[in-house]
Amino acid sequence: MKTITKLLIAGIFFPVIIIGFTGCEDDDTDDAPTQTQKTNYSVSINMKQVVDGAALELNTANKPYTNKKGQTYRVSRLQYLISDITFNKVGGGAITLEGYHYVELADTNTLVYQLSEKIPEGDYSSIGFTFGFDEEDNINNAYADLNILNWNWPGMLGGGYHFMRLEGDYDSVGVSKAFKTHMGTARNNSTTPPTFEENHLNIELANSEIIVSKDISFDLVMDINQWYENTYEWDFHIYNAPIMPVYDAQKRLNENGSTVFSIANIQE
Amino acid sequence: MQFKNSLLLLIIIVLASCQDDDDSTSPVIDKKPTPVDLSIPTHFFYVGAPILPANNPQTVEGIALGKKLFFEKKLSRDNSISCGTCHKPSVAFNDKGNAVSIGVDGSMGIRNAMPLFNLAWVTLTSGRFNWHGSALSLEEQAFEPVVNHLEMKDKWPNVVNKLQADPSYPPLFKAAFETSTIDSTLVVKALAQFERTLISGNTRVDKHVQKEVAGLDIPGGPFLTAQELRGYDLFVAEEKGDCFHCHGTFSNPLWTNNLFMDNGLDLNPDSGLAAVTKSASDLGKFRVPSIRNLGFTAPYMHDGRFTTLMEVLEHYDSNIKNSPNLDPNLDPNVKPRSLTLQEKEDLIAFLMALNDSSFVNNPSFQP
Repeated sequence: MKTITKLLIAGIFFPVIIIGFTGCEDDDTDDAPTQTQKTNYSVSINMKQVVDGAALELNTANKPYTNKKGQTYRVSRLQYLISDITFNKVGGGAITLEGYHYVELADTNTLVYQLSEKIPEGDYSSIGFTFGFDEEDNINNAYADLNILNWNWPGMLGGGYHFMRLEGDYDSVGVSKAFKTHMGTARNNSTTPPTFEENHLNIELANSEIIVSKDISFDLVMDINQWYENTYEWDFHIYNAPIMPVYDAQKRLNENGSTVFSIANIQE
Repeated sequence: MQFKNSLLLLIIIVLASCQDDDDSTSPVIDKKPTPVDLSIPTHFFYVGAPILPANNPQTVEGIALGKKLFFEKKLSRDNSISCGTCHKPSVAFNDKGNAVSIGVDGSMGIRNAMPLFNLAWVTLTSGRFNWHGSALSLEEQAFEPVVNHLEMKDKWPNVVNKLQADPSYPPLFKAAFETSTIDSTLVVKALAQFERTLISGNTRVDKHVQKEVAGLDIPGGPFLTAQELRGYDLFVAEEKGDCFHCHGTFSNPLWTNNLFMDNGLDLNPDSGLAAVTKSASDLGKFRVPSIRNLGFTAPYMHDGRFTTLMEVLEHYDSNIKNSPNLDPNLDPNVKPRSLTLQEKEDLIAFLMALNDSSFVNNPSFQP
């Protein structure tokens, strides 16, 4: 996929750059050359997290959230990973901006993803991304900044990296118990030997058409409760922790993940 | 590399030629401190290169001065203790068996002296030093013990005067920092340079990682026994040890994330990081220590309460307290670890394979 993307980018960039330069040479004085040359624009993504529409807060001891099953819970940690932001072009084709971004809700420095690659101007029918790493990018031990955070997904579970750690506690009978919604490669123990199923999500955001004619930004919104309700109604009593080695839990997160994300506040 | 060396040479030549011109008052030609790279084990590429402060580059002269200062008792009010008194090289710079350390006048500290190694990488994650995260750099950390009322109990101007009056020091500061006028900032810079050289990465686990994980061409092996490998599997199994979420896997040679966690020691915990951040959600959180060199650094935990590794494992297995900010990885109400004696022994066997005897015996680190 990467190679194809690079070819695609090269195919688009080079003619544009040539045209841009030729254009500059043609108009001599009345137009600032930087304006006509600049045909690629920066992309900035604001990482937002909500629960049923309200901004997620950590450690809300007196104000728990409620999942669809009616279980009350609090969140103490949220970390997740997105990669390969993709712009689908009107009329077909797509441009993927390679790279990944790690979000740690408690670290405000991680809440804006400023992409290193730029996007060519044009009309795009939708924006998509990978939640976690796809199989090509989910390479054992490949990313130093994630290794040092212990984001690795153990080899016995298929290796690669965590995609998410969503942690906190929920109210059980007379006691609060921890939950650790950790997501990554799914190990299927029903086969001999066990097999590993990639578990990332390819998300295409609804209502994300965009005209790129200047630097753009948008909010990428994660609704926490969507992990726990659509379509599988998550039960913290069944899937509290550990769930990393639990195949069904991993597959259900994947199934529920398709409605977790939305786009808002597009600045184009 | 070639290019880098040539560039260095060029810089040295250029600088040297400058010095020839302007040093009219002294017949002695000033020598610039000699830049030197950290000696980093190959497989540490897994966590990336440490970011060193631009205003305190590593130099041969700075490190040598830092080492002398590290073992210098003049840093304490009554000239009785040095950094090295509580951070002994022979035990990975821990206080050899003492739960807490004894300061000037016999004052008892409240925290176990942290072992010192691989500190240059702390800035890549939390960037916080000390058990409770009170210092934001090694230089800043080094300011504290000198004036701490339970430790060295001195005042910096007094320490600086003592060093300035000692004829051995001004030339060393001149060589390291190009001035013979000592000040506290230069003292902590030198100490930090020395501390950054304390790199531990030469154990049987490291050799295993280099050969079997990174695929480097290392002679010998296998380096780990079947029991040690079983211990590692328990270490990374979420349903068993679940140690790795804080202490890492084969691809984190630091064996810590250097972040702050509450590991359920007490129902009413020591304030920990909250003393610094004033945030209730940091109450009881301490820096996750590396699990390297545990064979040298007993007793364990921030207050040295556990004498043996078996006690540590029993804590995680069956004695976790439901403290206010208990890390979700440790909640005993959800899934007790239920480690068998054999499993505990396997885990300890793996941990013992992370003892770095070449580190504790390194002649460069001895007084």
